[in-house]
Amino acid sequence: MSEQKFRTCTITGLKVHGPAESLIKANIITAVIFIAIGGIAALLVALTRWPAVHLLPAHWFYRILTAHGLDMLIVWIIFFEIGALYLGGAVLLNARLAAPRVGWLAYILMLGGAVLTNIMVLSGTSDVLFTSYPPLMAHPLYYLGIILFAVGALIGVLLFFATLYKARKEGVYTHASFPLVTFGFIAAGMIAIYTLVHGAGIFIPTLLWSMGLMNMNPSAYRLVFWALGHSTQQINVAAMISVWYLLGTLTVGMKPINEKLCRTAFVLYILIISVASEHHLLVDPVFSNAHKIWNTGYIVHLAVLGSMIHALAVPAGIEVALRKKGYTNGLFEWLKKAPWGNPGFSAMAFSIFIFGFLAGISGVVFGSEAVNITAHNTWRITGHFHATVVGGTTLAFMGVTYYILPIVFNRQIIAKNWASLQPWLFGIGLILLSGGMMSAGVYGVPRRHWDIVSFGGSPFAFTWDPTVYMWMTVMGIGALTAVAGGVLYVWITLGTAWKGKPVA
Amino acid sequence: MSIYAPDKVWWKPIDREEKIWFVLAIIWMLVSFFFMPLWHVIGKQNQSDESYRVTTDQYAELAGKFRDKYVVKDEKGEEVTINGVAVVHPPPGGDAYIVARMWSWQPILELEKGKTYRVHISSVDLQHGFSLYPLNINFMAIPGQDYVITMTPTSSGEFSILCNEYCGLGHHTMVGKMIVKD
Amino acid sequence: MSKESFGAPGTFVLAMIFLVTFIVIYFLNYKYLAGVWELR
Ligand code: HEM
Ligand SMILES: [Cu+2]
Ligand SMILES: [Cu+2]
Repeated sequence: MSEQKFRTCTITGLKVHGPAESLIKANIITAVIFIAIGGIAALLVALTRWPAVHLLPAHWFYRILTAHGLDMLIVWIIFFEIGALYLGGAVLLNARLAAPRVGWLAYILMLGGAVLTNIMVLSGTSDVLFTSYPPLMAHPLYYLGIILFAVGALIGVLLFFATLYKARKEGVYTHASFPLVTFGFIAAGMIAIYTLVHGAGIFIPTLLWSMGLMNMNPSAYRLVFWALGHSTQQINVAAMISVWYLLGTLTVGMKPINEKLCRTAFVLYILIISVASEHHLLVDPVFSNAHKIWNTGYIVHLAVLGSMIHALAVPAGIEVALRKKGYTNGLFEWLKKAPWGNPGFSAMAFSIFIFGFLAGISGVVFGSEAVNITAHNTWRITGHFHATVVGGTTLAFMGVTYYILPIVFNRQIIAKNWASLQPWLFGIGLILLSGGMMSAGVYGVPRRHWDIVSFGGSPFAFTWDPTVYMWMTVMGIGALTAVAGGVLYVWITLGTAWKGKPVA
Repeated sequence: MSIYAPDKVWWKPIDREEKIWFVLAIIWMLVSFFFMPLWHVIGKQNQSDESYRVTTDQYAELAGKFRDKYVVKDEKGEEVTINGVAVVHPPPGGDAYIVARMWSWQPILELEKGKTYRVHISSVDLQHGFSLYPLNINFMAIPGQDYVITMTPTSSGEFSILCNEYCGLGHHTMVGKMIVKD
Repeated sequence: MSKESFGAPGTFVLAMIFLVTFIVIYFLNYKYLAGVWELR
């Protein structure tokens, strides 16, 4: 192992391995480029659904919505996660990345797959939305793109584990336990492995089916697809919570108040969530009630218990750290005097709030066996998952970017003031977006729908309760605000990577 | 700190407040869980447990027979339609079939308030989503599965069925109707 | 504050607010569900 490949970070004192650094940069920058593409799509989609604007024609709406779902939920999030895994595996342990070339192979597969799938969607051959429920069929290359992406991601995750193994074997990391953040990433990585295997389990048969080589049962597809689709969300949750712990440490010097509980909570995620994917199928035929209750009731609640543990542990750790700084008056002085101008802190705070109050509660409620009858495929669901994966995960990832830029890219953030504003815009925008969606959904406003006003001229068109239009407007304003925050994020990140002054 | 190695002895006992929170969280999770089976006993809105494998042709045939038998006729003996879709009056307590296809819901069921019906929902092409406005009742219509939902309308009037699963370019035009008489 | 105590009373209050919100929203949704047609 050659020493000159390492650089010592002047902020954290961590040793940064050169090849790991290049790979982290490539994955993060690619992620940001895809959130930019997905963000343009978000704006177009939101402006079409907002009845006052109704921007795109129908076929472009469904096409762009397909691109939005894929580029955000899959490409942006997973590219960022792979970058974060390399960070947690190599940088946080002062170790080297086990096999950088394999990392580049993973990167190229993922990028190639993402580009291929995007081309197929935008060329209009694959208007299937990201769920691609059969018998709706996309072009075979669409499925191939997704398979390439998943294989690349799987290789990236395996490289992360190889890195941990090497760090131990080569005596670089000798402590009995990994740091909590790395431990959280290990949970995310383990979930990722069985998720990606499910991904192959569903997309390879689907590819064969689209080539006419196989039959496909729509109900069976839904079951396996959501075994993939739901567990990926648990990767996002585990990664997000790890990032909370990371940001807590970096922004206010937090210490986990109780490592035992925190780690137990991560273990609950690994064990439980893979099986509990059927809340997507609660109003499907085929499954028995007993089965639905077991799968979504007993099992999900154990995973939620894990989240409830983190829900106390993270803010408590932050409070303890801030009280140590002398903000000890009353119950909430620490909260008032917290570093709200630090985008890492505000992003984390919004992420915790949105994930807990909006996403967590709505998730458990809509996932209840009977309640789901009044939520399935309405905008309540879209509102729920924008709170989880956007307000929660995406916002946390945005916050940690402000630390990855100096630590890994070795650059000072450009436009610090705009950076301080960014999480606020994105967070507040998201609360309005997701709140507007969930409220409109209470009246039955459907998701994935081009025209709730005149139903494309259907003779059976009807008029909604007028309150619906108010909530659609709240959604629209929220979307514009969040997009403004997103634009700032993309500009600051790319600008800093390009032109930021070196840290030291 | 979270990013550095944990202290040697991090397996320390849990604080009192943490314990309280942990216990409350467990209790609440148990309540929330047991409420689901409990709702099957005390609640009147529950998931259906009944569905059958059918081919799309079989389903279309079953639904066609049902339609022909119970279609509403006027004094002249002609079939009553609304916007070209037949109105069908199933016998209370009996079966009623709804066919989802690109991009319509057929036929228009005319039900009686307070009576119970076995409403069959399925698709003969792509996946569709049955969504009843303004009640906000949602079920999947999946080709190959005859989904039987036992419904008792407790309100009367005209209801709309919209499709809330993407089913191709005309998805948003897929609206139907249901009528409940007092 | 007593020695080695929890030290995060503010968070504890926030957590209780969260739990109460959770419980209220949970049962409100069952109430909403109870308003729709009877289904089996
Ligand atoms: C500025 C930020 C964003 C805005 C304004 C926005 C807005 C929207 C809107 C209006 C829809 C359409 C819903 C429908 O027609 O049913 C949608 C769908 C969706 N969004 Fe976003 N979104 C944003 C960011 C994100 C991010 C960051 C992710 C993922 C990480 C994401 C994931 C999704 C998914 C998975 C769908 C569902 C697509 C489908 O139904 O097929 N969104 N979004
Ligand atoms: Cu449809
Ligand atoms: Cu549809």
